[in-house]
Amino acid sequence: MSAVLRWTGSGKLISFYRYFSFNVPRVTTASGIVLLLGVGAIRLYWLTGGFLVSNFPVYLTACVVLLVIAALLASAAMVVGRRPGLVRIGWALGSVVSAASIAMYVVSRILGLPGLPQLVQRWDYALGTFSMALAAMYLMLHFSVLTGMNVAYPERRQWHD
Amino acid sequence: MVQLDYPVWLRIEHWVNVLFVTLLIRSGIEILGTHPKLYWRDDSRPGTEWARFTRKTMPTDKLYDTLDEEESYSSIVSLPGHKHLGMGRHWHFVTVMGWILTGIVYYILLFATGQWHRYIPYSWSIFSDAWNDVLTYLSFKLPALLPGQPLDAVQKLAYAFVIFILAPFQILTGAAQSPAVEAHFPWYVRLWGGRQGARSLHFFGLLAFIGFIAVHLMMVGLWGWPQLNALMIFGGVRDLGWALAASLVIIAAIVLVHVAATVWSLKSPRMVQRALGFVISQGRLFFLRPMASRQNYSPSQLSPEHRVNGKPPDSDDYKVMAVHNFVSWKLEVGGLVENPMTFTLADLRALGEKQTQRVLHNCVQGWSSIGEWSGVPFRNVVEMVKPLPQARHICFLTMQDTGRDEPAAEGEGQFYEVIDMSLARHPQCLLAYEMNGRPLPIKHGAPLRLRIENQVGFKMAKWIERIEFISDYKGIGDGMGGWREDNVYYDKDVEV
Repeated sequence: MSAVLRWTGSGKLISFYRYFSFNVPRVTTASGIVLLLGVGAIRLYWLTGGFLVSNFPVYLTACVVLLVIAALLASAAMVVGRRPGLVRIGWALGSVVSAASIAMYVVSRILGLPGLPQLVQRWDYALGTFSMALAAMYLMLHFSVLTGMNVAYPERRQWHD
Repeated sequence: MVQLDYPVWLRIEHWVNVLFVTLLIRSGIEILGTHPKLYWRDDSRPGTEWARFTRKTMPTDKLYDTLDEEESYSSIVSLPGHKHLGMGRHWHFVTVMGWILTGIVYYILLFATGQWHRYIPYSWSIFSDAWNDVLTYLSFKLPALLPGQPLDAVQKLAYAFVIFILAPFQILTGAAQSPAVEAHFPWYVRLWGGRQGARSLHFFGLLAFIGFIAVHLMMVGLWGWPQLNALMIFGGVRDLGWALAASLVIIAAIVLVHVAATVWSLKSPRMVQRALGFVISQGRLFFLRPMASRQNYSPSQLSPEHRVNGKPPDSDDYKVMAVHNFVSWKLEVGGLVENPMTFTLADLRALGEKQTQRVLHNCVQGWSSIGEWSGVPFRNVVEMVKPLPQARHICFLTMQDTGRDEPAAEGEGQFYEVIDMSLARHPQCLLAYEMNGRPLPIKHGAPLRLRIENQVGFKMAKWIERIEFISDYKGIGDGMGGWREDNVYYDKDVEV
């Protein structure tokens, strides 16, 4: 495997991220929370009648409520967590919320959701696109934390050199 | 209202701008790579950086200097790549001169021909229009263009931002990193939160430009690459096939210029140094040379740990002198002077009242620190030795033998630097024997170093043993005006 990575040059490409590291834990966490709360707020807006369709199926209402609660819990864990383990769980939960949001949106536009066939091919919905962008940015930010490019509050870089 | 079409000058300016901006980005990344760390505080204290663009981790159990922190980037992202700061600086500065001239011409023609209407909004409604455009783009549709204009509202605002805010912002934050500007206008660098603040903001400007270019290319693709390129190349849409081909030819030509600049810099750095250095020097000497230092930072602003570059002389003679507090050290001042003299450290200390200055030190790599330096104003020594009329430069010879003391450095031989006579008379040009109220530390150049506060750090020779007044420096070393100029192709006049 390593020979393939070396031979194709893809090893260098994959490890390119190691050239980037930042020491802005508060900005990282604040950005993560803003993105996640943004995703949650848009779902909440949809629940309160701001969606393309008014007749939200019950199962979808439950899903959206769960996503909003999960987004709030994840944000709380990220910001009030003193234990690194709790903070990591918060970030991971945020990624689950973001990934689920994107998956639900994409599936609803490609395959359709039960009770909402009219959403198929309805990509022309600005708030939906914006919501996907927020969720995607959160996933990228979490990826940067997992790879060590960023550190999230309350951790700090221990750069001594 | 003037017809907002694509006049010839606008088309030429566009493509010249593409070339200059891409050269600036690549050469800027080369410069960043030489000290791939960004700070907010001017002391650049190790560990306080907010961003790193390196995989190197420096040792905590042995001495290293900032040269060891240099990163070697690929030529794909940097010009010329592979740790050639001297070349990167030449390309960055010569390109910025061309870019500023292009920008001035662009501004003049924009307002003289009425084409400014295409960028400058004159109704508050543009913001609500722009918001609607954003919503339209998010709906994966293309918004309508503004009536009689070539752009939609959000595009108009974006171009206005880049042309009238981002571009000047980059020039201003770049200027705030010039030692001469910082030394002459200390308030100006404070305006940007200090030298490192300006450097970090300059980096954000770079990101903004890269982001703009990415979105711009995406937009051209969405709106029709052949159509828009036809307008930007031929001024009108006639044959889309020709437009597509011409756009690819122009892009290939720009890539070719980049490849040629890279290969030329890597294969013939001396030629690049001479050719580009000649152009840059004219601008530097005209605009920046008159800027004498008038800094006086407060004691509370002194850096707790002043960074350093270069390793001390590793000779027995030097070590013996150091052990005896340099009592046996002598400074010879000669060459083209009426009155050659030799000074001991005690002699220098006895030369009238010592001058003290608290100043910002700019390393060529990009880091900075603030230190307090005390010693003899160099002009006093100049007056004592009485230079002959033909003396035009001053050569500072040091006790450092780079081959012996810095085996990792490119090049070898005695370290020396040459300055012009005009700099010697600057009020804060100092022969410093104290730092922060104590005898000059060995790593900072004991027993004597030069301070010229409107120059980059490497000109301020450390561990000085002889000063020679000369008419020409062509016969010294490789004749470029200093060890770093000879070996790593830096420029001799470094007001920026």
